[in-house]
Amino acid sequence: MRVSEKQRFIISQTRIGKQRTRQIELSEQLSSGLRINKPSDDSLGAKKLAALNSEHRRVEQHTRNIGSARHLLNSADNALSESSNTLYRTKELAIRGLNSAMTPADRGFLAEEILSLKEHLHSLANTRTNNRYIFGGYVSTTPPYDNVFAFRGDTNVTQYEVGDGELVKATTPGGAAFGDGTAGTIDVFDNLTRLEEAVRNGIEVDMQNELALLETSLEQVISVRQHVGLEMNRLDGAESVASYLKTRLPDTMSGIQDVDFTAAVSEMKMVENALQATIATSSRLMKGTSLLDYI
Amino acid sequence: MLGLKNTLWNTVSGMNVSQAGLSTVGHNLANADTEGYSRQKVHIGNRGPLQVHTGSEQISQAGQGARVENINRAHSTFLERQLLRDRLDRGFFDGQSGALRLFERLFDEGSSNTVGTAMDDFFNSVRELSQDPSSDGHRDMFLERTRDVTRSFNRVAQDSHRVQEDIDRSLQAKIERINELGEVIRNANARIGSIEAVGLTANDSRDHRDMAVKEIAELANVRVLIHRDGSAQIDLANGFTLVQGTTLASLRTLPDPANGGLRAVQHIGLNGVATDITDSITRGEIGGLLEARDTTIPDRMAEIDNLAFTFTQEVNAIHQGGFGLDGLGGRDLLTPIGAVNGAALAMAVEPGVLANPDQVAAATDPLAVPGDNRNLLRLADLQMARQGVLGDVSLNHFYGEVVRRVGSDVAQNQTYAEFHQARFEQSDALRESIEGVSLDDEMVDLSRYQKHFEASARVMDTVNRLMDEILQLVR
Repeated sequence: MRVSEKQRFIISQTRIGKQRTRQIELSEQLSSGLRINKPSDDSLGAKKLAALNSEHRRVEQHTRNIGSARHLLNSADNALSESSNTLYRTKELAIRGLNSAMTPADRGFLAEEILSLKEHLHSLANTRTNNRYIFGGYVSTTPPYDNVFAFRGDTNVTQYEVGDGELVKATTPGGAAFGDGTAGTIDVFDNLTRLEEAVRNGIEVDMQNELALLETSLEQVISVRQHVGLEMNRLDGAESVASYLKTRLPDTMSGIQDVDFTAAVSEMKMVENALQATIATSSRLMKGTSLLDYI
Repeated sequence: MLGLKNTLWNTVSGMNVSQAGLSTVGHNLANADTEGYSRQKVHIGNRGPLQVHTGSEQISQAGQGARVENINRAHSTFLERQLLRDRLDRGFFDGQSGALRLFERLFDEGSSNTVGTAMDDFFNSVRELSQDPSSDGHRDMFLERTRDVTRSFNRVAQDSHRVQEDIDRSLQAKIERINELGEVIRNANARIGSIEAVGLTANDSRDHRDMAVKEIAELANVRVLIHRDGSAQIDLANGFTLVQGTTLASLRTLPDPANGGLRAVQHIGLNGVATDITDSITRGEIGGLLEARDTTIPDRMAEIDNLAFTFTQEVNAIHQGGFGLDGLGGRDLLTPIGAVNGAALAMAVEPGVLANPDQVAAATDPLAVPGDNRNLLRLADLQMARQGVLGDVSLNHFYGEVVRRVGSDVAQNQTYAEFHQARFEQSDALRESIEGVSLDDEMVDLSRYQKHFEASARVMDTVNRLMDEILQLVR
């Protein structure tokens, strides 16, 4: 082949240019650590990456929901546990009232104490956290038990999404624990009101009756607390799934988008060598002895 | 009788030819690096013989020396045609690839707040609000995220239109360039006509014209016809003549209302008739730009519009089924959009809801407010729900598919552009090896013509001395 003067230069130019371009691409990848910097770098990979990214964000939101749900359930659990303690304490007081050695004045004191325990229970039933009442069902902004201990909430349960298609009951129906006036539940506050009256008046048969009812009230509170415990268990399950995904997803994403450093560095070295060789041969080509040097 | 005078003239002709050769070597060397230059070569012929009487009855033919028959350029029509085709292909993919790279940036996951991430954030804010639908703060946040989604769609629509307008500006400049090149070719035609009419070859004007033709070939499909009189006829895009002999037609661009105000290309023929040739330019850089502007980008944007429309419809359907804190339902969250076409640009949050966050319909039971979050749970489920109109995939999945297509459009174009660049380089190397200037060749020619000149000079010296001899005889 006949080689023209321009060809010698063009060939050097394009070869060096190509290798320099590859060198820059590789150094970009190595410095960012990412193989995919824009969709065209690997369109299928970019699509997978976007889906994984979306899932990762969702998992983070689920984790936040789990945190909130846990907070609500913990609050409910504390309030219910404190409620059952309060009822035990009331039971002790009432049993003391049964003692025939009690004077009316003594029983008056007992009745006062029962009354204050009832107030305590009232505030527990109206537990509020994060600006919401936790035992009112969907009635979250006004106290579920009003001044005369009447239930103003509903029986609904607020559910939180804590995983894809996974819902937990983040609130507890307070009516089921403290009574909401429907059949099948005992109104704990009514129970305490009557007990207090019986103690104050020293009527033994009433005291016995109300004490028996108090036992059922206790069971009612404890059983709701057990349900809270069950939801907390489910929450633990959801949390372990979320935290697994939270560590696993970045791994998977890295696998798709990260540069294989060994491969990239060795290719970089190869390009460097090739570039050096090209520059060396190009300089010979360009210096290129021609007949001109001899005539 | 052959005289010394005759010999002298022969010698002079040889010296002239050598000088022409040397001059051509000089011309070639001077233009060794000139773009589009084809090396020239002196073709030497002998001058017609003279009939002379060499004896009483003998007649012979005697040479009259040499002359320059012609100075031609080394030229391969076949390769030039191949190169024209390679240029068209390279231009097409270069043009499209450049335009699509701009478009691709709108879908770069690295840049924050793409449509994909905005939709994610929207659904996550639904979940956040579902924690406590009575919270004003959460409602404000949710509306903020809703507005982000509409803005991200708006922005893609606006930016893609901006990319199309950038393409338009580039298109205008290139059409202008074609007009300039047409003028160059017309002028070259005129020069070539007047030079070649007297039997010469207009090498340099032809080189000049070839350069202009090559540049047009980078830009748009072109067909070149060289007429018998040496003039070139340039036809663009399926037979719209740009240059014929020394007459020049022109191209112009003007906004096309039927294509959203983007520019159409018109051919104004020699007879002054304007024809829209936008769809006929299918190759070259302009062809590539038009392909990106009128096909690839609109295709992707139609998908984005479809996504925006579906998103609006589905979100509203769920929102309408729920109730705000005021216990009222049947309201839209997003302003309803009439048509799929242009949906991404039109997307907006319903002003009523935006002004009054209490209207966000979190509840499914108007009597269960403010704690009822069931409608939000339904809205959150929308993120993963398959949509029939989107080909039975979820909103996010569909968006991911659009991004994948954008990426693969760009990558594919890039591959083709590189392939055609490589092919062009190959053809160009072949062309260079035939048409380019080689120092070695020229050095050989240089010495050759130098020797010829020296030899002729020697002959002249000899004739001179013989003349002297004769004059001596007379004395």
